[in-house]
Amino acid sequence: MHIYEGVLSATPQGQEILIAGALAAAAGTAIGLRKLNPERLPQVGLLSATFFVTSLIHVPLGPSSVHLILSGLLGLILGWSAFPAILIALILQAVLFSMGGLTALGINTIIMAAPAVICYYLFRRAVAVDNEWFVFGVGFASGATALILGALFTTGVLLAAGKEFTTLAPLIFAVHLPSAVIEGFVTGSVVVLIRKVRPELLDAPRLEPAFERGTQN
Amino acid sequence: MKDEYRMMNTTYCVLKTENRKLFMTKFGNLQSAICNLQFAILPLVIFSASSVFAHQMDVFAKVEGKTIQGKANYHDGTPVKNGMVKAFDPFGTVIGETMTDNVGKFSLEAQFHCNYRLLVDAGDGHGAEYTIPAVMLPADLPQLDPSNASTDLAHSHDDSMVSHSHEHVEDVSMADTQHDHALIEDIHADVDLLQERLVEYEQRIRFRDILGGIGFIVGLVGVAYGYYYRGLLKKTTQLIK
Repeated sequence: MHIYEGVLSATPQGQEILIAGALAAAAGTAIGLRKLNPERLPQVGLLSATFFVTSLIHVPLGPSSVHLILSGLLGLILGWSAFPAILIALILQAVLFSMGGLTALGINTIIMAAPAVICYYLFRRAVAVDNEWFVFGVGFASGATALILGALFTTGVLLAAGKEFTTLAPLIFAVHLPSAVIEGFVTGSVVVLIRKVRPELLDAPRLEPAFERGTQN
Repeated sequence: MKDEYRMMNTTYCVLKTENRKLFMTKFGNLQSAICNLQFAILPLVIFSASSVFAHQMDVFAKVEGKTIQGKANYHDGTPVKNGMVKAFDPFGTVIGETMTDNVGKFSLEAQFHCNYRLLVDAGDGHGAEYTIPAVMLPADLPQLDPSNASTDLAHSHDDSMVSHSHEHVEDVSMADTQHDHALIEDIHADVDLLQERLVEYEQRIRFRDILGGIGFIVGLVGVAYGYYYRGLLKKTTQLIK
């Protein structure tokens, strides 16, 4: 998912994309910081750290390996504040592990934070519904959508920069499908857990376990 | 009255001294108890220290001429100082002894043309060994004769020098190729070891970087929080005024 340094800077279109990406990321981060309630700072930090660490854990799957991104989860919980959280994590990944790169920081932030914000607007109401399976489904959809959107953005950016692909767009989907499913399951489970334990993170009412609801009625 | 007073004073003094003695004995007991405790703790401390510093050891050695030169390190790169180095022949007899210097280096004159098993003992329960194959040693060294190996070193050395020097002339080129092969294999083994060590090191660094990154994020949140609350505090104080 990370676009590496030097991939885009080779072509003039690529350089334009890098600059546009940097500006857009700066704007997104500014909005994120403006909308950030200082009371939620620890959550932003925690999710930033989660994003930073999960991207480093590669799980072998078939011929390649996948790693979680959790941008869907970040979007659902943080909204626009996913921008600063992802930006910080990406800076650390670039500096400490040479993942991505400092010049590609802006465009990478857009690739991962924009799907998060999109998921926030798509699913924030649905995630507040009082039904465990529905909430899990929403979480799944959020995780999978964010990942596939990210993959689409990456492909789009590389195409716009004049990179030629030997693989076709459907193949890119196929490659990202297993990660999207895993991401969906993880995000779904986490969202259900959050709704039960700390529902205020999602601005939603507490999700009562089914058996308790049964006894109450 | 005066006498009485003096007596009282003396008794008081005696009492005082006895008290002090008592105190001293008590204190002495305490002191000895502390001493005992120290003695009891000391081995523990040393033991724990040695287990804290219980690095694995590495020994590398090479041959230059007839001299075996080597270096003994702990895994973290600390040299093994004043470690006992013993060389054993394939039969387990000691055929050489030396000590490592302050930077962990040692050198030993090779006496025989045989496998040299070098055992470095750091003296704190840590040891490591390294074997120099016979092919790496000059071929003109005397062959090892187990019967007189440990009894008459110089004699056997001189004898075999004379008896073997002519016989080995034709074998020299053969021995040289063997020697080269052994050297290349040795280098390969060393490179493999280095690569393993490098991977290990990278993983350690990676783990530290992950922790460092998390720490950085926590710190950043702390700074942001502090900044926010300082602003809040200013506003409140202005409101109060």
